[in-house]
Amino acid sequence: MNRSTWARLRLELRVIGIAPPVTALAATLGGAILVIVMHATGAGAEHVNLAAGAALAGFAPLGTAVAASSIVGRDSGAELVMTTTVYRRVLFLRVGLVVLPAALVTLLDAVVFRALNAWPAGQGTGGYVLVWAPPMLWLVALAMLIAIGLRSPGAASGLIAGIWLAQDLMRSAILDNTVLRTQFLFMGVADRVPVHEWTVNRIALPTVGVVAVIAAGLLLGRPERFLGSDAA
Amino acid sequence: MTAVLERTAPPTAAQGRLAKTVAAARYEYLMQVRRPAVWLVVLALITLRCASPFPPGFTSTTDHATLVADWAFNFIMLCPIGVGAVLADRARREARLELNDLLTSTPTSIGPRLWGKAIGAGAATITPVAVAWVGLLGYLTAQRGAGVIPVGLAAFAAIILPALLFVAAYSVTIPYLTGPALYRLGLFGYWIWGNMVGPRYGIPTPAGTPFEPIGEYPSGAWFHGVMFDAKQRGVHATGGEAVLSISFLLLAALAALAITHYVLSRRSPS
Repeated sequence: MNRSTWARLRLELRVIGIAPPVTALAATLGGAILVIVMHATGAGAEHVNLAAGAALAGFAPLGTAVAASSIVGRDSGAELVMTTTVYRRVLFLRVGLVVLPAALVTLLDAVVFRALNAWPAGQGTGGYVLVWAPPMLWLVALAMLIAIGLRSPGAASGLIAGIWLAQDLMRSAILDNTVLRTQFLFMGVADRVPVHEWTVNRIALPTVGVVAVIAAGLLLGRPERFLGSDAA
Repeated sequence: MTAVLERTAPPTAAQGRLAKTVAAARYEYLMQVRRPAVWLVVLALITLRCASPFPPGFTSTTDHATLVADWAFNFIMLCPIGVGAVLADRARREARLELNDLLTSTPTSIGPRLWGKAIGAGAATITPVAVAWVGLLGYLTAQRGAGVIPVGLAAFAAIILPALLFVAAYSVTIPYLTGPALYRLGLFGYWIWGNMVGPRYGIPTPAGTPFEPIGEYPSGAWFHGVMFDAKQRGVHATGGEAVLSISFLLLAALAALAITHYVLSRRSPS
């Protein structure tokens, strides 16, 4: 990586500010601290495994999505950026700068949890990535799509968190529905899931995520929507 | 022209703090209630939870009080998350738009602006909840008769409103310190931990105590509504505990605003 690329990444990090990366890392590190403290204080294995699953499949993806959506509409120099480059590319680069460190730390969390034997029931080696990456991609992509579509990070955060919590509260109703089951975020930590349903779910979540990213990219084809207005 | 030049201060200079607070609240209300995101998020979250209401089968009860209390429980499960999320960006809005210097030069000090923001923006964000509740009461009245209306209004005041005021007060104050993104994540975490991580998980939590914001105690004590985490603690809520629960939420909301008022006044150059 040459010096100009580093300089560009540093510049984009300054534009993003400290809050989004800290928010993303706070969720995944907070979950890790909870699991390690529970393990160290001798909490029951069932509770520790539950906390590990919640940290990987729940907290880390949600925190990353909230953080990623918060960068939309916060660029005071957006008009200048749009005159010199493709805004879509800039915004996706900034999202990557928030998501990538959070994803790496979440992977590290998974390795540590496995080493501590604090591991969601029924997950094999693939769980290092497949427990958290599909829901993270799904939540980040949908949060970005909502934030860009509505020009409101607040709306994106509220809706995504509501959907996330509703999936947990209405777990049985979702699992009883053939279509909704493919979009269940917590299948990676659910008990007694047939292998083929788990596989379909782990493929369907990133697929919807990619569709949402494409839709967000299409909306960013008209970046002038972000100019001259407060959050919707 | 001469009249304009002779005016040494804006008209509000002669008015009291209350009038300035009312003026700020009115303006904040109108700004917030016109945001499509406020309506979309709050109504979507209410609809999402009410699509599969909890507990199963409660809608067939013949007791009006239980019926409205359980509907209120469904309203309050998700929508405070949306209320807090769309309110969180109000706190630093003036700084983000670089209006602080301009506002500081006006006769309206930070106090009326903060309280006006809390009252106006808070009321505007609660408006979609109130509209949805009135719509539900209209539906229930058509089914069960007008007897549902008074008990429905009481349930709104005792179960839904204190939690929303509590969330609104913190959502216009804490983001001054944390920024909106970190606050939103903290609010989601608090809402889950403080209301839904019950004693069965072995983690210390206010869930199931009078200090949880979800309104189980007023619901159980006054309306015979469902009690979930409190039931796991073996609690049968009394009227006194319900009053304690509501008082705690309202006093905590007032404390957040008063402390923020004090801190911002100390930092303000005016």
